[in-house]
Amino acid sequence: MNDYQYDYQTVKGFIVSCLFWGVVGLLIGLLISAQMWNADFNFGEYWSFGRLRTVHTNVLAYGLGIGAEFGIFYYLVIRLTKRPLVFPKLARFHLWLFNVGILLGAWSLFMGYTQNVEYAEFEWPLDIAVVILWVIFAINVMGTIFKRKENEMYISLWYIIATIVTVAILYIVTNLFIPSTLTKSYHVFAGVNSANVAWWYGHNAVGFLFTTPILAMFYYFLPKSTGLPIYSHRLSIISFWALIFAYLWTGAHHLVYTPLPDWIQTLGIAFTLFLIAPSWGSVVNGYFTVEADWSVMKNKYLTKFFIVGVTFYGLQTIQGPSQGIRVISSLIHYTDWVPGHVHMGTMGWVTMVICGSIYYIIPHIYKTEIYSEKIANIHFWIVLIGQLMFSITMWITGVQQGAMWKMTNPDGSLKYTFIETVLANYPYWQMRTFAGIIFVVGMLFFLYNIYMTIQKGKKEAAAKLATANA
Amino acid sequence: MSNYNEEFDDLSKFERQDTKHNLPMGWLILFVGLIIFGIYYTYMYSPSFTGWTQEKAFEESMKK
Repeated sequence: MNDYQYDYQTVKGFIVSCLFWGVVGLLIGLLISAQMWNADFNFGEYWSFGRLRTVHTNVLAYGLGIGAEFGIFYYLVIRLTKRPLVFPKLARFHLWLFNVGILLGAWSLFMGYTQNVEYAEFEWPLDIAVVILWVIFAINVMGTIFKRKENEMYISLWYIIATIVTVAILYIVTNLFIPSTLTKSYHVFAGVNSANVAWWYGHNAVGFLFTTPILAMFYYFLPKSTGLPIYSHRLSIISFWALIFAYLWTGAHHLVYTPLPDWIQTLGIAFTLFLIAPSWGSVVNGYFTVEADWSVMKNKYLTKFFIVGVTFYGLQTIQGPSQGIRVISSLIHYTDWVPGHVHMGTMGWVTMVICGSIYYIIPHIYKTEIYSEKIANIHFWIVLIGQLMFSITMWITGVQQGAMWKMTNPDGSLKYTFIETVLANYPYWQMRTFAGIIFVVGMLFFLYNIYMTIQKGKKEAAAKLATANA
Repeated sequence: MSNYNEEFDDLSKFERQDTKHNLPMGWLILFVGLIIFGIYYTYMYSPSFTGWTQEKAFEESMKK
């Protein structure tokens, strides 16, 4: 039809990089989960929980999560604008800078350099590097969208734009730190203001790193892998604008029953509850799309990654707003319920949709078929079981912990000492490590399948070249 | 999957034409309902509107 060839080299690079960081982050996750129930798993100061916990969250959020998003966004942008990137070499530089950045970031956390703001731990020199990295990414993606060859802007592009613009604002405002030395700095906001900004950022990191980018993938790869068109354009667009409008007001729900002014908490809770509607707009849209022909759940192996993924998104966006309500927050906040909630989102929704997208992209750019649908199915069921076990054990122990903290004797004294509530967690923490191992095994099936698909694609391309030359 | 040889995506195949402008009624009720509830909730639990404060609520719960 035409000679146009998409250049997918940078996309491949990001996918391979994100899988590498994913393995690193998952293994550290397993280690710190064992440290929770056996202190002997802390090896010296560098391999102790306090340092590794931030390495785990940062490497998975930024290495696996953002790495996959960079690669998949480059793929989506060139496909949806029907033109190459405006600066392909800059994208290649972006790939290298990204890997060096994650390496240095992980190293700095190992060394104990941290700003002590959750998900914004990197010290100021790294923050500057992150901003440069993001600007490079923004110029390339926005430039390509401005110069697009396709007039229509599909919903995925809107989610990509929202991600780029909002993350830039969030990251810069939260990381306004005054440097005192090369490795130490102080937040310009003090006390309760610092906490409010930190959670405005912390919550919206979830919104604009784990929600909008994943929805961009969902809206593209669901129709691509099922062959079914999205049910309602209007529902997509209304949900999009409502979601990004409401999200930025919600951070205060992390600070319920703190010195933060009551009215800010209340406003945060009201917007948080409202978020159920735009979140479920995308869930409903996904279900109604597949309702046209449910047989795709069985016939097209990728459908279940997206539909089960969006189901966990739906559960997550009911559970999350409920946790914002004062009475529920007072029971489960600061307990192990919270990691249960977070991991349903990251393992059930984010990773599920990223894996589904990579399963689609890799065979597509290597012009081959997936190595084994059977292994993909095994991967799906194992990670699903691992994730459910992880979340459910944490919910049970979280409610138990919250209830034990609150229980009083008839004379008003506390029924349990703090250490008793910690000891009650042990069996659940051990179960969580077991669940984590199951999840990681599932991910190894995924890695093997992707590796074999790449090898198969290379072999087929070589064979084709040989016959063409013969 | 049958579209390995395609060059460009056909965007018209991404969105259903017959239901393009539909908003499911149940979802619309949820959407409007949550906006109304949000206004009610903000009014009820803002100290400057109703005098409710987290401190008073805590003291009341301690009396029980």
